[in-house]
Amino acid sequence: MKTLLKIISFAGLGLMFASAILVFNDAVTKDTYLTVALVGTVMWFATVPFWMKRRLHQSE
Amino acid sequence: MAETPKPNSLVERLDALYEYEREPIKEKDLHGWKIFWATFAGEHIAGTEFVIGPIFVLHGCSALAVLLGLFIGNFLAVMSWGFICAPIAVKTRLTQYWQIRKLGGPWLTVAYSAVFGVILCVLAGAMLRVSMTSIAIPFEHFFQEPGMAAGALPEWMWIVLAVVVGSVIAVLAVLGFEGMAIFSKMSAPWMVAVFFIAAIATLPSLGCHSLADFWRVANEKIWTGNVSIDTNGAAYSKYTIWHVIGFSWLCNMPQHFGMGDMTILRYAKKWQMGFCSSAGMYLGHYCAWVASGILCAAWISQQLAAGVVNPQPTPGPIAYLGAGLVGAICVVVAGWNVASPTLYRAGIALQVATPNWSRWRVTLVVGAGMIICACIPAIITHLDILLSTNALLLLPLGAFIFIDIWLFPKIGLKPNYAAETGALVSWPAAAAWILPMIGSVVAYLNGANPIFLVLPEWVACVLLYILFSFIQQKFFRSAKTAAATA
Repeated sequence: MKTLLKIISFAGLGLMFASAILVFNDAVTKDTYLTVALVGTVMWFATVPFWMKRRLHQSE
Repeated sequence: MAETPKPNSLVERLDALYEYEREPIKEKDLHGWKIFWATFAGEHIAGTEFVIGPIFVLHGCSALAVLLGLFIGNFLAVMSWGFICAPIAVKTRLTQYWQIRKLGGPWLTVAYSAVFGVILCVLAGAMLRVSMTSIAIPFEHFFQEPGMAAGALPEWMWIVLAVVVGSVIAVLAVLGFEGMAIFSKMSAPWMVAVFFIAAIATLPSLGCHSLADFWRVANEKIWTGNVSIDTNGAAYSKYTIWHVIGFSWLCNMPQHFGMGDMTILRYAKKWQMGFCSSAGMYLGHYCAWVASGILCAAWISQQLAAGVVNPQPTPGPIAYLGAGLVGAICVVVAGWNVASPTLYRAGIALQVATPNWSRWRVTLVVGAGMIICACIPAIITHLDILLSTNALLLLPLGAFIFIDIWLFPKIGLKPNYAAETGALVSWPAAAAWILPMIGSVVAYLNGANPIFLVLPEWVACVLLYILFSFIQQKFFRSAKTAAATA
């Protein structure tokens, strides 16, 4: 389950990068890029609390 | 059962705050490479990155000055962490606070804590202002100017925003500091991504459609070498490659040369882990600064095309241009992530100066200071000067730690002399801290740029500290021994 969540998190970041590169190459519109970036952000924040360690360095 | 006496004096209260850090880190608590790569990479992506990149654009840097200067300056910063801060942190396994206490005496640590607390309060104000520039975007439509989509917010509106947003940050610092710190850790990789994508997606608007175009666009549209005009109608000072190298090296001086990161690196298994700082420097202080420079140039050209005279870039609008809502959220998150823990640490540092106030009360008072600082627009437009001043104030004590541990045993002087003699304050450390700082203030008032004062101040502090310590340990002690014998 954790692996799946990790995949979704990094897929979100991947989507963000992919859409930016597509805008750079004039393959998609800026509006599409902005929407995909938002979707990628939601994917990241919806999944990352379930797998990233919550311990802080200072208190370790 | 005997009750533990409450600490009453200023020094006892300060020691009590840092009590749990008094002992050196034990072998079982040490960490490996992975955690240091992650810690440094996450720590150096913050709201200020949206401010510093544009500073190089506004001050008329050339593309070569920025791209090469940042490379060299950040390299020097990494070397400073690797060869100065990390070896001492690994050798002593103590925090900077206790090391200063041993060499400078308890009263010097009280002075250091007070200065550090005030600086953190001002920096939290800068972070709050960064967040406010993003939160202000929807409100700009209420102050629409004729023929324009939005207008500038009046001063009273900025004050309202500072009070509202600042109060939330202060309450979060009191109630949920740990939660904020964990959220900060989780958002770091996403923030790196936002910087990158915003810059990549903005390049076409500057006429860059392939990698082959980049160098031309960088020189002609981004870092053109022309200085901009500030809000008062005066031209910004011209920055060269030396300014870029100096600034990128010194902006974290309190952490490396100033030994602030002993707190983190004392957990390192090997001193070489200091080089993990390269992750933070090249992601945050190279890529993010370059990215925000690109965003700034694109925003200025968009505003000029829209007929705005003398546009002044701020973090919120430039990030919004690059990544829309995601960019605006990134600025808020980047500002809050740092403002809240900074405020918390400022509260700890200043708690000593209050008459046994609880932590929440100190943090709220410091929060009020943060809100006042955030009402000053210059706090982000002159962030370079602010960070340089921060370095000038805190650097000397780190220099003393370095000299005390590394040089004193080799030249026959005793390290940690204040601890050995039980002195309340080490006069060599106090004098070698204050005198070069006075020199820097005089030089600044005579027109010197603080960026170029940091290194001379470090050298002056070191030389004076060695000289005064020599006088203290060789002459005063001899005189005392002679008097005792007589």
